[in-house]
Amino acid sequence: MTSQDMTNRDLAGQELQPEQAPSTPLEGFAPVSEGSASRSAAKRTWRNSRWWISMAVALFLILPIALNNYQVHILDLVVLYMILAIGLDLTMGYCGQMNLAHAAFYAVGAYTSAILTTRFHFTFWEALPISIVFSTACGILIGLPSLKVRSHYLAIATLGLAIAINDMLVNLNGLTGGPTGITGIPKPHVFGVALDSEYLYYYLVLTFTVLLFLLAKIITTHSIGRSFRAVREDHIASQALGINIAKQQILAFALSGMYAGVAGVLYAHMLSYVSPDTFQMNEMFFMLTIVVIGGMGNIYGSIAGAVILIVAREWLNQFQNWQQVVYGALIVALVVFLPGGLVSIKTLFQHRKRSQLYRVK
Amino acid sequence: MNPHVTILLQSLIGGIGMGSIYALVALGYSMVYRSMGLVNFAHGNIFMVGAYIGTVFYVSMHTNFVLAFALALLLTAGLGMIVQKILRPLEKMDLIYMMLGTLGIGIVLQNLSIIIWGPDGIAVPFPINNTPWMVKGISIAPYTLVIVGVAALIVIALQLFLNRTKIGLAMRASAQERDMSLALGMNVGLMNGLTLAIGSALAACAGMLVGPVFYVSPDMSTSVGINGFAAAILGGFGSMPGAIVGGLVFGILEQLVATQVSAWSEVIAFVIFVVVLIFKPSGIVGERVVDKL
Repeated sequence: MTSQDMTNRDLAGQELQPEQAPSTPLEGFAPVSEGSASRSAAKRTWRNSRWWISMAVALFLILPIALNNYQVHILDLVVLYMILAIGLDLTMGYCGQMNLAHAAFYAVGAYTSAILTTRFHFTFWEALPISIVFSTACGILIGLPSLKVRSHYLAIATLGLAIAINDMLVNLNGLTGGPTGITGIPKPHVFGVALDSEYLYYYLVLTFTVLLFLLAKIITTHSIGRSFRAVREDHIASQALGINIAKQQILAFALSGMYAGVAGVLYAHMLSYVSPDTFQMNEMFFMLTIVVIGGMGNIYGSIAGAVILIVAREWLNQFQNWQQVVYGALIVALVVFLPGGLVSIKTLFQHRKRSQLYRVK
Repeated sequence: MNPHVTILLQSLIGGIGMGSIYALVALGYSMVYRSMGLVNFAHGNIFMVGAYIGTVFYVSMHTNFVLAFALALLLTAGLGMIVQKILRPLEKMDLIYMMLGTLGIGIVLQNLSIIIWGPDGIAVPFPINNTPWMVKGISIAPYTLVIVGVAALIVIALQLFLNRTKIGLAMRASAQERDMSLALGMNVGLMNGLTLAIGSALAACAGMLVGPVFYVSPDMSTSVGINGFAAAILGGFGSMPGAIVGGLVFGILEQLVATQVSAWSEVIAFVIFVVVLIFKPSGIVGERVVDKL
């Protein structure tokens, strides 16, 4: 059991696995491109986590039965924010790029689909790929400064461009409806069935979440994820290993754009309404909180963060401004006392267990 | 006079006025970064709280503007000391944790001030007669000159304090060489606290000065906080001359765009900002920073 736990933790990206971490530079070349050792390691960890993942999916599948309409709406949001958080984690946690434009990608996805379906009478399934292309392109565009600037410089560059995009949504009155937004976005049809209740729509969002989660898992366990982490840890060393840093950074931003785009489309059709208020900076910082509180560089952390923070936000809503005060204080406390995020609780215990063993010996 | 030149001069004057405000805010960011290595995202909220404190004395309690100004500076400096105590564990962490921690403090400050002072803004009367002077078709608001004058005085006083007094020198030393200063027996923690206090006082000063121009409201923290941060980055983060130059350049840039196409000023200002950053990644007067990642 303990060995299984440990492999899970390693998979989660806290540390490189022994097979994945090249001990000598010569060895390092092969696994980064395509190595049999790393492939078998990935297969093994996949087998270990497969059971847990299917249990979680089954739980999420049957969960709506026990809930009322409002609770299902919250559940919709939880599942939606998982997509957003995983997307943000790929750039920020795995690749180490400061990306404060995630909410803007979300907005681009939502607005593209909203405009296409209401103004040009596209169906949901036609608008979806176009919106994803737009938000991915937007991700690549905003990722361009990452080739030249780093850390807080990159943070303000992406934040500035995100503010610019939000301003455009307000100013392009004819297309986006200005500050009032767009109403009457149609609900999607699946095999002729209109998904017009929260219950039915939930399964659509869940499907996308599971697919995108699996994609993220494949990306992070295989060579792309390893080069992401290499770029995060050390630019010069990863360059020396032959990793094209520029390509990885742009890819990370493109992925972030894609994930947020999908979430945006789903959001727009869920509420049938979009307005620029939804995609303000507060939203960006909320996503950031989910990722960091959950645990950076760990997709399971993003998922746990989304569940806990969305539920907490809805519950605290009744206290109005005091809610925000508590929320802010909580963030400070968590960042100060648990910087590894919620996923680090497990390693905390493991560490204690191991050190006790050591003492016994 | 040529109408283009008139517009140019007009926006130049407005830009220098607003730019002085940004410069004061940017100085706060840069000083704190220099001493603690901390990017303080709560700075915009401290700016707003400072503006509110000054306004409460000036408008509600009818004290003298100068006295209200001094009180706002002192009290906000105290707030800065408290914030530094809370943020001390974040000092050596990654940028993202600092960012989230300081954002958390910002959220607390923002909502506490909404609870205390309400969500609506307070209108502040001008402390001097603000009828614009017309000089060859250019209107100059006297209060703009007050802003520029006071900001310049504050910056000069700060320079003198940092270069001529013992405490100022100790603050610079502990910012430059943390371990060496500790070894020499300096109280580095206190010096960092003082730096954050001075940074907060600078923000309060900016807030107090800008109060009569805008409304004093909880929303003012976001735009000025972000523009001030952008100004600090534009000049070169962590550099004091950089903060002043960046503030003025950003203010003038914003005004120039605003006189042409008012609705798009933010978009164009930030796009230009990013382009400048791409060609000059360490800011206008910033030194080459070692790539720390």
